[in-house]
Amino acid sequence: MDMMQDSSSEAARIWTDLSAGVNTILAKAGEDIDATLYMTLYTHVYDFCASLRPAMPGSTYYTPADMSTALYGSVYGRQLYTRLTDHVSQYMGEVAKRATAFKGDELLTFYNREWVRYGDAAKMIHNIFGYLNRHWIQREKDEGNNVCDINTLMFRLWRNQFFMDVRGALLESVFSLMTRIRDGQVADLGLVKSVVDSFVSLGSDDLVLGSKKMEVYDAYFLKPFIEGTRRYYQAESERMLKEGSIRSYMAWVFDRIKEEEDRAELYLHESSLREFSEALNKVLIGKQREQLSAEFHPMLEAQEREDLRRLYLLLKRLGDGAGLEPMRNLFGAFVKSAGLEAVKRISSDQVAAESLTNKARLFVDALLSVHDLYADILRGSFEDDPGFSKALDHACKEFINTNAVCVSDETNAARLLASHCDTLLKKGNATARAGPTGAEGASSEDNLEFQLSQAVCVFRYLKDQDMFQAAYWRFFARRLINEQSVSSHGEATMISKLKEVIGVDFKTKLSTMFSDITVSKDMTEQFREPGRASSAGPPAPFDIGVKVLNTGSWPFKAPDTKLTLPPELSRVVDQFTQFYQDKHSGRRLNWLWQYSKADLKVFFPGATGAAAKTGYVFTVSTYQLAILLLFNADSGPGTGYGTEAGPSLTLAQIMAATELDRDLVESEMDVFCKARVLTSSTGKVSDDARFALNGGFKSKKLRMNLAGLKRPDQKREANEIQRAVDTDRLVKIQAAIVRIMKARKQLSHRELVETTIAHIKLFQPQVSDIKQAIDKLIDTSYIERDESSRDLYNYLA
Amino acid sequence: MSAVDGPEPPVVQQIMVKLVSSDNEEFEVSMAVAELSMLLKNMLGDLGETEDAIPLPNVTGKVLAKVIEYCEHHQNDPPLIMDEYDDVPKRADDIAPWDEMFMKVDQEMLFEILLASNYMDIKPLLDLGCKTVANMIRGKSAEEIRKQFNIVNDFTEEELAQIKKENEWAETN
Repeated sequence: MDMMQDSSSEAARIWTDLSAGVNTILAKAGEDIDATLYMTLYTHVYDFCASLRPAMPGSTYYTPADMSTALYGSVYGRQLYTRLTDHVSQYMGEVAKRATAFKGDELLTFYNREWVRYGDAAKMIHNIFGYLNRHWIQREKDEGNNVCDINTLMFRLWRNQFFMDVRGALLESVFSLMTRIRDGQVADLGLVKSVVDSFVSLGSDDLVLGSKKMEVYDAYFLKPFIEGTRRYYQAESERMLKEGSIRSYMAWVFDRIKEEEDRAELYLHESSLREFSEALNKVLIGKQREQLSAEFHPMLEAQEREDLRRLYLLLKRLGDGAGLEPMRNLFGAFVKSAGLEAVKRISSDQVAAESLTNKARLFVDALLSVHDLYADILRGSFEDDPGFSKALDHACKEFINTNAVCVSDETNAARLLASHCDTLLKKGNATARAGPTGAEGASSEDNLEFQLSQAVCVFRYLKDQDMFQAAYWRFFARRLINEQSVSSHGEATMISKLKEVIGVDFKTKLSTMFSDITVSKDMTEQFREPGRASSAGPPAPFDIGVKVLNTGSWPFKAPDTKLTLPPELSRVVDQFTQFYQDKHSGRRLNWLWQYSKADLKVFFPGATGAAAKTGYVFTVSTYQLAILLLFNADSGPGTGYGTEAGPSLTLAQIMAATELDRDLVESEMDVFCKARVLTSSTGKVSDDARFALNGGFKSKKLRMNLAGLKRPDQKREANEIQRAVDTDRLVKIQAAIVRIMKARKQLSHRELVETTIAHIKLFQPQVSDIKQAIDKLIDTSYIERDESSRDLYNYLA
Repeated sequence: MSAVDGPEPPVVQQIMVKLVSSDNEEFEVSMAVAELSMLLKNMLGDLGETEDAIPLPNVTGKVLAKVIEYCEHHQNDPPLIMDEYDDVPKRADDIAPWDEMFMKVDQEMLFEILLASNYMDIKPLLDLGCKTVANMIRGKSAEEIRKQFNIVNDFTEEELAQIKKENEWAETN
């Protein structure tokens, strides 16, 4: 341990050895270094820092080196650090000088080769100077001095002594290479990639704390590179637009952007891909946005899906606001006008004018054709973009509810759709069920299912969903009691589809109706069983079918006219009533005669052939039955009974015998006379006329439906539905307000109105209705006006 | 052949490294043992595996044998995570029994181990040495410490008086 007598010459000797080793490493990246040399160099660094001491008179005693290096190590550590810095700086200067001989790809190749070798060398030198790193450098760093570890030092020197000189030439070479690639020539992108990687590795410009890590890359590569790219594509896009159409430009941009982005992933740092893409978007799409957007309308008109898709994807790149929002609005407006146009064609269509059924079918078909077309474009061209989807929904809502067809209560969209569903689910409408798009070979059940789904699709857009419910309910009830459903499977399918969109309440109501019918069928069978003991006398001489319906579930009201039943019927009705009450005591049956029908076999005195043998069969309403039975030859009031021609009766006699309203009797007599079943002495239905059976009645058909001749009054029914819906809405609005106020306790008028509107989904409540509901609730003390502010409402528990 | 025969247990090929002390004594140790020294670990990383003997010109055979003994015992210790290691305050009273026995050496050897572990960059061993020294000092007066470590008192009388005065507060406590 006696190294101190001539430490400065010792230092010089060690440094000579060490610097020669550093040179070898720099030149060969450590290839020729063996373990012995490596350890020698390491030990040199150790000795330089740990063992050398300046000559200090008087310090002769033994001191462990490790415990006193703080002082001496400081001197020698700095010395070693400085020497290495100077040495590597000099080396870098030589590299910089050699680089001037190259340019273009050769410069890139040279730079990359040097870079790779230098990187390996730097790491090894860092480790060989490990002792310096661990002690002197660590201490300096801890004290906040501007000293860095050897590896960092090496890269700092590369940057300051070489890179800063050569970066301009490098960038130029990169550009020239990239331009060749962009122009379609072959060039080695790998060269660019390596250079870019070195820019990234060089990190920040200074070692000041908080400086950005990628500063060198950002400042010396990315910014100028993006600017160069922008200039290149500015020129290119101007050329393309001058030479070709905007459509061909669009296709070109589409491909170029994809190419550039795919390539960028190969050589740019991942953190700047976005910035690069944005620059491309700006120069290639943003500047031409107006021109591109102007193509949207013609593309939609011609349904050019591929071009639409390209345009969408390009404008999407500009972001929601600048790119897509205007396009979405255009799309919505376009769909709306297409929808309105399609519906308008129906309003002047001959077939549609023939019947409400036809109108409803064509209306729904028209809506769907527009909806399906643009939903398909939405999927294929706009990637189901939520914004476009919303625009489509909004447009559909508008043209479905307000258009050239929906001009009255009878023809509002909800009612037309309900009527269409009725057609689909009613017996005997196979063509309607097949639909305009009915796939050949598909089973009728599949077709029905498809058509029902389509109807539900339209339903989703209805403004007045409650109106649909009310109408559907009535149609459904009529199908059930008239046994007109195409199949119970079809009905069940529709009910479950509606359950998904309307909710469970409506479904429950329809299901209850369904089960009323099933239960009634069983019950009628029991009633008709021949062996059934009846206290009310012998079984009926004719078949009878009774449907017992829960009052609340059905859209039926008690008849608005009195009726005296014919005795034959009256007896059986009493029997059934008894039978029913034996089963369910305490329930009351109200007979809805206006909905019931009978098949009546009629023998005319003058009939010949088959008509004489088997008679005619008339399907009649119960009211008609009651009237016709008065004309039986052997029973009833009036004159002429017991004669072959039967009695002749006046209106007054008929009314007295049946207790039916005058209006009803008059209209039924009208039906009978028109059908030539009865004759009038005056030739018309009047008080002074006498009516008698037309003995000479002749018809080719042995079966006739007289009940069906009077169609239900569409207008009246529409009015009824409207009234029912209006009442129901007021109740719903009130219920909603009470729920809201219960939860919120106090709300201003405006808030309450807005919340109520948002709360109600089935229809769009009118503000006037909401006001009316609020007044009603104040009257009934559910809520009150606040005493201090008239504008505030309080909930009253 | 039986279905329960598993695959042969893999034969772990221990890669061996030759170390040569300053007095030319040669040691063969496994890579895992050698790599407790950050110096050797970095070097093997830089140069790749080598059959050449690695000279350690600052460590004698006697000391190297002792260092290797330590490394062999600790070769399966979990690797140190330097950031955490430096953050934890060091204690001198948590020395494991084996380490304590290992450190029962004469003073010269103790200092040689300290030097070698610093040179070879074996942080846990350097810490162990420092803790051992700290425990030797604990509870001793200046004069006892001087005696123990063979340190000449080179303070003058005046200097001593001055120091004593400055540290009075500590003494009376």
